[in-house]
Amino acid sequence: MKHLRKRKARALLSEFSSTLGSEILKVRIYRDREAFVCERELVERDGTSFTMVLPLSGTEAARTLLTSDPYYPRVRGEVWRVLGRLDKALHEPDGKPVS
Amino acid sequence: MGSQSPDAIGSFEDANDRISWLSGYETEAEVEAAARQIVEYFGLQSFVFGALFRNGEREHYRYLVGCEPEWCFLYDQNKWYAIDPFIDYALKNTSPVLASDVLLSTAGQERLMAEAAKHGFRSGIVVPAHSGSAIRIGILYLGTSEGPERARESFHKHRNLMRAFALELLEWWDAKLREAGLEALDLDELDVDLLTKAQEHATAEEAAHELGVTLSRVKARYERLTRKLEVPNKRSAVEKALALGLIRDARWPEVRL
Repeated sequence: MKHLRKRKARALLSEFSSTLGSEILKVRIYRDREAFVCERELVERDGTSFTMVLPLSGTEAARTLLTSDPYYPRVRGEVWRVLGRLDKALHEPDGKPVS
Repeated sequence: MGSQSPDAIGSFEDANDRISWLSGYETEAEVEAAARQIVEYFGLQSFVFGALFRNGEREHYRYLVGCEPEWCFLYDQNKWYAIDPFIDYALKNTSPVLASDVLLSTAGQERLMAEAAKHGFRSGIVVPAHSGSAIRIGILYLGTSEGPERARESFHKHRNLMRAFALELLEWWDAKLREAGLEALDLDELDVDLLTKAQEHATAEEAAHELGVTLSRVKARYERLTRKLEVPNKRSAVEKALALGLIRDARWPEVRL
């Protein structure tokens, strides 16, 4: 029986993690084949986590989404850094992820 | 994602085909685009598909969003998953139900529903989806900003398709999470096969024989697996692999409705 290694499914383009009191907010943006997806995860003190998965059409959609997050005023710097990295990754000719 | 959007669905057969194609999609974007078309065929506008994962110690809620993201932000901010009457319904039931037929028992639940109505879920349908594992269930919320008569009509017309739709979404999501988990831990199909054999209580010798690999390779792989999964032994590795969705729980037969 032949066991093949699976191919790499998606590349992390940009992410941040920020502790907000007793919670941790994590945002990750992936390139998955030709598409993009944002995972926004909020982890509670007891370990309970709530993850929203939203397909994105590009940087503008990511900006609209992340700036409408109720936590945006507390993670403004991280959001703009992540959007900057995303923008840079999207404009790199070889499409290499930036993290 | 316009280029990924399939054509509009015009018939029951089209809808049935589109649902059966979900398992072949590779990305969330493809699934979301197809799901929007299916939801539109049902005569509805919004959806959220959630996978709930409970391993006894922790709860994880993972949602594919096919509605206004603001609604999910609000739901998250208020921690409404802790009082969501539809999650409770989905944990105890397998049949789709009109949201209006689920009894609300607290003021918090009344508030949740009032806010949902402002965000594309004035009326709707809840479709539970149970997987091959007792620790992971799916829940599909279908909604419309129109009144309850619209949801009722859609429910009576498409109930069985909705059930198939939720099950396909859950299976797709399980496969996606498994793929991500394997990638994060740098595991391959041989690791999965070995974990499955360990779950079946096969010895290393039996696993080597059945999988057609050498005994020394099997032993080395089990050592690597316990290291990567950060557990003390093979039995714990199986438990952790089950919790992460890397292998299917053999105690729970796969159910297709």
